[in-house]
Amino acid sequence: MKVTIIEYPGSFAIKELQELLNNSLGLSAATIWHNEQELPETDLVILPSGASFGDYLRPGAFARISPMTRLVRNHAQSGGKVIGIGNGFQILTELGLLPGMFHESLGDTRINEMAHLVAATTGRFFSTPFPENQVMRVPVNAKFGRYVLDTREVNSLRDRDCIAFYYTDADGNRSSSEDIFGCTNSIAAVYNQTHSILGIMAHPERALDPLMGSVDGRLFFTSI
Amino acid sequence: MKVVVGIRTQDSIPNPVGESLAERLRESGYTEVKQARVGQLIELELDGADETSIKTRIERISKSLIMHPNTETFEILAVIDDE
Repeated sequence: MKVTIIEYPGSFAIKELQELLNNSLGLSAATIWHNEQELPETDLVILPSGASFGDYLRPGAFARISPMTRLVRNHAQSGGKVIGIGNGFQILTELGLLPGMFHESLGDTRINEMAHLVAATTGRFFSTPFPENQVMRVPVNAKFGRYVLDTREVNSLRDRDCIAFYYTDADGNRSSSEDIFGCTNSIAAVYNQTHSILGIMAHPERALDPLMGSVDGRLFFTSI
Repeated sequence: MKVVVGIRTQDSIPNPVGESLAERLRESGYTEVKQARVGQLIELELDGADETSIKTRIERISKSLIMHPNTETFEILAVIDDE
């Protein structure tokens, strides 16, 4: 599987992500700078985490008008798969490819705490159905991690089976106290209507090796 | 010419910073405060003298970058001819 990672000024740990995808998962991942004019043929685009353009104006706002972002939008609109992780999720909402927006996280910045996520639906995004009730323990780290939606958007996501993951406790139970960012309905990740785009604020890419404290992110990537 | 653009979240979208601000004001004794919503004020200085074309331009700028497409609205609050 060919993966293209888009690098913006302020993207974090791109080389590590690329190496992990290549070495730990055996994918063929390459990185491309946001100002490039051509998106190589690819099965999956990853918009990575970080603070593109210093989070100025809003997280992900400035990335919206990069040439590569426009090409990713075309790729996405013609059915190509895209994952936005952290800041990448914020960029996808800035493009209007996913609903909602992000506010400052409830409480402190929450640097590298572990969150527990459970799939709300096995999701057509994944070629191997994501296991139901499987708790995925992965790091979170976001200043602007509070995903905010209005009631109409929540209902629309629910009706179309587009809520990908909820934040839960360690046993996979949902309760608002376990949602460390204060997101609407503890929604942790969503799909677009056709399940070809996925936005997730937590970091499965930082849970691929025992040295990272969890290998649950493997489940996420190997299901794709 | 200077243009002042106001960006605010749509009424249906929760505005946590505004909610906290209103709560803090009430706690401080300003009990008459019922609600607060926090947005952004952006001042742009542009070349050009024709107000109509500048407003069209500002609309495009706002929609392409300044406002969040899912949740925010923009409003031109003032056009100041400073020449």
